[in-house]
Amino acid sequence: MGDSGGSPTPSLNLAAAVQVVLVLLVDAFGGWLAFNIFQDGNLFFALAIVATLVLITAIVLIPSLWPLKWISPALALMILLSIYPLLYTVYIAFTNYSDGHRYTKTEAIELLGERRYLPEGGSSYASTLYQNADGAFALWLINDAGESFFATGDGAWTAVTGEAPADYNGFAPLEGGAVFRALSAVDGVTFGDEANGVQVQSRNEASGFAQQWVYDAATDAITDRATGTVYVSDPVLGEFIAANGNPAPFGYWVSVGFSNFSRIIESTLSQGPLVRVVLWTIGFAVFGTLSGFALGLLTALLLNGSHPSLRVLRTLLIIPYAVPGLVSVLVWRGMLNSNIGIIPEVLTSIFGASPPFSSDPGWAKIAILLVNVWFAAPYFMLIASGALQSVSSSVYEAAEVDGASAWTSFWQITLPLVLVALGPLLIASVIFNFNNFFLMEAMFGGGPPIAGTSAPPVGHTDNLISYTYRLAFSAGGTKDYGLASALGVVIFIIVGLLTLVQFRLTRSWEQVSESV
Amino acid sequence: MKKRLLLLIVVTLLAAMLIAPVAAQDRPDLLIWADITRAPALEELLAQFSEEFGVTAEVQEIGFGDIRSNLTIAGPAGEGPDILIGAHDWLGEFIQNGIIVPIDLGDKAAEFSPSALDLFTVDGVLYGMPYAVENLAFFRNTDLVPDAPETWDEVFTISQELVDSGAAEAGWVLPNTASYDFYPVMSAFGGYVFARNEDGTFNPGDVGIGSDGTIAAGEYVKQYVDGGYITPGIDGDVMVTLFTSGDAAMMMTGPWFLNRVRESGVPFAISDIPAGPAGQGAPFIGGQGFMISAFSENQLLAQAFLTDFMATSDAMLAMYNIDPRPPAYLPALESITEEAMGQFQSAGANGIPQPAIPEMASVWGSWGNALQFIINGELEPADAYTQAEAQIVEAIGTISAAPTSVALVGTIQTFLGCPGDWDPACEAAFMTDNGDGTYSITTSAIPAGEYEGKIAFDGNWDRNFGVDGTMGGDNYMFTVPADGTELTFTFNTADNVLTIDGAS
Amino acid sequence: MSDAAITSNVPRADVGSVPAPRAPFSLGKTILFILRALLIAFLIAFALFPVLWGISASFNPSGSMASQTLIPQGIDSTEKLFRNYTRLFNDPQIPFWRWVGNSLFVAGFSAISVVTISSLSAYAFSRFRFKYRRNLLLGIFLVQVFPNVLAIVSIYLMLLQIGKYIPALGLDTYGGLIMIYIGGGMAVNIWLMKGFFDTVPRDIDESAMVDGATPSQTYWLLIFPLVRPVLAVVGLLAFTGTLNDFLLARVLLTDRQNWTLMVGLYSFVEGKFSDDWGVFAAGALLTAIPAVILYLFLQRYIVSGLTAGAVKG
Repeated sequence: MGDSGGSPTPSLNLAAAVQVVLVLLVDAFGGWLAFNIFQDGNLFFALAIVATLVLITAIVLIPSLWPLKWISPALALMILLSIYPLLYTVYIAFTNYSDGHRYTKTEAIELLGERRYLPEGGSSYASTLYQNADGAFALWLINDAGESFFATGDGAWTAVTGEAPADYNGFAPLEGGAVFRALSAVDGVTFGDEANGVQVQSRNEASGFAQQWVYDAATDAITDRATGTVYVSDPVLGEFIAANGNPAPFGYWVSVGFSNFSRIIESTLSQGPLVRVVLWTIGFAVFGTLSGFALGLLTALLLNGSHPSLRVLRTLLIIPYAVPGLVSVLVWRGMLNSNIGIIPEVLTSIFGASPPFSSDPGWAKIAILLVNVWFAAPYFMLIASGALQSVSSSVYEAAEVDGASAWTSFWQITLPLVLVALGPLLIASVIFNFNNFFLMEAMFGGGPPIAGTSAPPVGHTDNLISYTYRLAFSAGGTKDYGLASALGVVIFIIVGLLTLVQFRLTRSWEQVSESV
Repeated sequence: MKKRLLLLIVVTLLAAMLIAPVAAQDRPDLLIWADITRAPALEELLAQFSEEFGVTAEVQEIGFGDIRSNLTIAGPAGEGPDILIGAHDWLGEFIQNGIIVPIDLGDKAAEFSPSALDLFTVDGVLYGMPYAVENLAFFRNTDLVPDAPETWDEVFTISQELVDSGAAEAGWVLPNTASYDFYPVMSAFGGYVFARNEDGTFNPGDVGIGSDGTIAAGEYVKQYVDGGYITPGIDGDVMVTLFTSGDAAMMMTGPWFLNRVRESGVPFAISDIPAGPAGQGAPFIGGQGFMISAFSENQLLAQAFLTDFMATSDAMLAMYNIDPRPPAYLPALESITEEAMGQFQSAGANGIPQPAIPEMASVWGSWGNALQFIINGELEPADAYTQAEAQIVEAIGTISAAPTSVALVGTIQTFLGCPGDWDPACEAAFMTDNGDGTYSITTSAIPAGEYEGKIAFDGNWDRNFGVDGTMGGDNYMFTVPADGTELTFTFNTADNVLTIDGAS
Repeated sequence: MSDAAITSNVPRADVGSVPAPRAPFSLGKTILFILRALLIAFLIAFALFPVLWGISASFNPSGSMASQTLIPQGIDSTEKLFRNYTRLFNDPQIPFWRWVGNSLFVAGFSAISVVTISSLSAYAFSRFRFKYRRNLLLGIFLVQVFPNVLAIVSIYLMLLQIGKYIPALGLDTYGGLIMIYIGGGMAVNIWLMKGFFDTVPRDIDESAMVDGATPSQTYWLLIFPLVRPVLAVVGLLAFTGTLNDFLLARVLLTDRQNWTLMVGLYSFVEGKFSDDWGVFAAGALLTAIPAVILYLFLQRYIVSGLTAGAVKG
């Protein structure tokens, strides 16, 4: 058929009109959404939505793009759920977004501005909440000297003598639950006049609080009025810094250029074991995939057929895949434990000794590969048994006529054809295993550790992701999202290149299939 | 066909909208995040509170660790709780991000255990209302070990006898990667994690993982390894399994495993941590408590709920009953007759607070690995802990590298010939390297008066030291008695302390 | 495609299996058969032993995952034996059946949507020739190779934003969660399906097109029935993956009543010193049942080979 340049059937005018109307509706709705999100200050997300809309509209309205209509739902989801988070991560990689730098400058100033303090000479009072028929609140206050005052929310401050009255200018004291219900309404409200303003401190206390942190845009500095210290904003570090070098309680995030990347280069250069980590990462990705695929394909071949018993066996073999991974890893860990596990126990009773699975680097890797095969084989069995169906039996009959043995027909027919269908899946699986954080962390926490490394500690079964996770989220005591994102970008580049190479190598597969 | 396609999108979206539960429920006046253990008790308490005071309140159940991680995302986004239950060692991260606000317990403060309040106090400010404290205690199987061992040496002798005689598979066991679990042993031998300043705070500039005491504790464990009394592959779960099956005779654990030990039917007793050369072993004290989110719109109400409703014996006992850990609220603690709680308390009497400073996050991994190296027989204790300390110090980024410059900064700098005060990059204020780990500068150019100063490394503020050698600590305050007095400032990189000769 | 039709087609059903279709000696055949049986027995043991171990842990009343024996010890009453299960079903704190319902709904809806959306794309990539087809295909793949360390944070904030304007796709809604799941494994699914579509001979749809069928008619009437095995595989993978996920769901679903089963179960063991492994193991093993049943049901599509039959017929 090929590119026929437009919808092959001309009799769809009504359908075309419906499409245009629908697209306009989607555009209108999406536009409204994007506009609102833009107004909320989330420019990037709004742009992602607009990009999606433009794409869908173009696909529907431009006739020559008709094949893309089939792909448009996937593309739309992909822009929003994959490309947008990807770009967001790349963006974060160029910032110092981390603990202590989690807010924008405006947010940080606002958050600090909410803090209040009791200035020197400020007074504290025992207080009683009053409310009038209009719902306005007031406070009956008694200071340490025993003097009492009545303060309203609209600026009145009156010295009064005597006990708290049951009625004061229409205000009556609140009791019990009413006090609690009123607390959210009086939170942060100043009662009394300018000279004697107080804020509610608790159910029965009020104090002359003032705003503690005040920002001055002219000097670009924030002042802690409790101590009088001035913290000047440092737009390079994203901190407010006082003259003596101490920073304000927290800073804000700023763009830091390539500094996260140069930190990565520095720390990788200083890390001797990084080569080991990379080798294990690649080794696990490749062997983990190949072993799972081999066993899965073997199982699929062994059990290919429609006999009811085979059906039962296949179902039994799928169970490891159906059981949630977390529970399986824990069971495996228990079974492999050298103190109480069944596997060392059995091995000891047969051979008199058992390998130290959790404490020996080599055996720990073997244990992880073993558990991985257990996880991966059912997955490959599932897709391989699907793919085997595509190997048309006429091909085999032809092979049989040519006198090929089962062995030859497997290598020359079954395997190549299965690889055509599963090639990209194998690549995806290699990539997945390359990034397999869960298994490394859950089995031995990356351990056993490698001796004599610099920070952070590295283990023999750490892969790149678990190593970088440690570097960005536990070493140094803060969660450094900027660094983590930069690492994500670096790993993406590595994995992306690997993927491209693999596709180049497997390009021939698709051509084979297209000629079938 | 395209119609069908578009229809599909629309139908999918519509269906999702119709069937999905609509989240836009009214937000209650008080929203509390609690984990599965505590949520049921709080639900009941909140129902009482709502009824009594007419305030709507709800518990949202979140995994314990998720409370911490979700809060930092959900809080700033306006989706967080008003109150959360968390551990005291989360404070460092929360304060660093301004996520929680101080709590004012008022008169009620006197009714809480002072050491529990200390756990939640940072820089003199209370950030949480403690509700339970917890620490390790020494467990023994009374069939195998009738009397509580007094010293760690005794523990070793008993372990040897039990294993050699075949009475048990193991004597005393501890997790292979123990850090928290190892601290009581370490402290008995004089080891420490961070040195403590006079006011009880921790000094991240002085790490004690490589100290002689820690290494001595490592040597102690090595005896077990050499004799085959402790083998690789034990984690917390395995340790308890060995104890509850009667295979191991002694271990240290906290109230969280009490029920499991009880249910196993193994006869056991709880006692204080044995002593070592440096005295009684001290466990880390940890605490759990209520904190108020900085993003709450109802902070006053949240506080009133805590001080007027939760800080009562009834409420605290309800929390205790669902998850027995020694309460921090004294009236509730006094009314508890459960013997084990008293034993945990006794074991924790000399405990020290588990450091809540952010630097602690860099310690756990390396600290635990060191023990694993010893138990796997890979490294000698001295090497294991020296290397661990080096890693920790590097991760914390304190005194790891020698400074490229050591500047005396403060209000004296203009007199030293600097263009301005408080300038860490001014060469005129750089101190001279004496080659013995000290740096000094001598001047008589400073007129009489009162001054403030500090030490800054590398020409910037990243590493600066104040009073007591505390990184980022308070300024030194000093007085120059007369014009022309010769002053010598000496900075010792061993403890990062500055001494000033000639001034007071 | 009745069962009878399938079973009558014996030679084809054996396609690709190790025994050669024309082994001349019966002795060789027997040895091969025994070898095959032994291998299968070994594989079954390897696959099921840990599962049995997990089942044993789920009956262990002491709440440990380091279960020491296959037969849990210290059980002196049926009450103790079934304690974890009783708790799962009867504890008023655990809305077990509600969680199961939520899980099945989310997983079912996600699986159907994933299959539909991915198969349309895969068909287009396999059958239409358009500019930049290969680049687009590769691009889709590359995008999802990205190790998304911040995905949860950005997805959380994204759903929060959307939820303000489209409540049904916001936080704590199935709409939002399902949307994320559909987007999640798209690339792999498209590639898996395309690989399979490529093996369906092109003359089938080309001849149909010559007869004047539209691409959509060709797809729904001719191709769709032929690719059912791969649709079943992808559906099953998506279903199982969604059912077992808790990383995303526990951040995005906040209300306890809305939780999926895995989120609910995970809450038992999440704490540092959690003591409820038995309940977790019990529930997690039950989670596997729907996926296994679904596989049992879908097997006829996956294994019994409709493509080849169609080619022959």
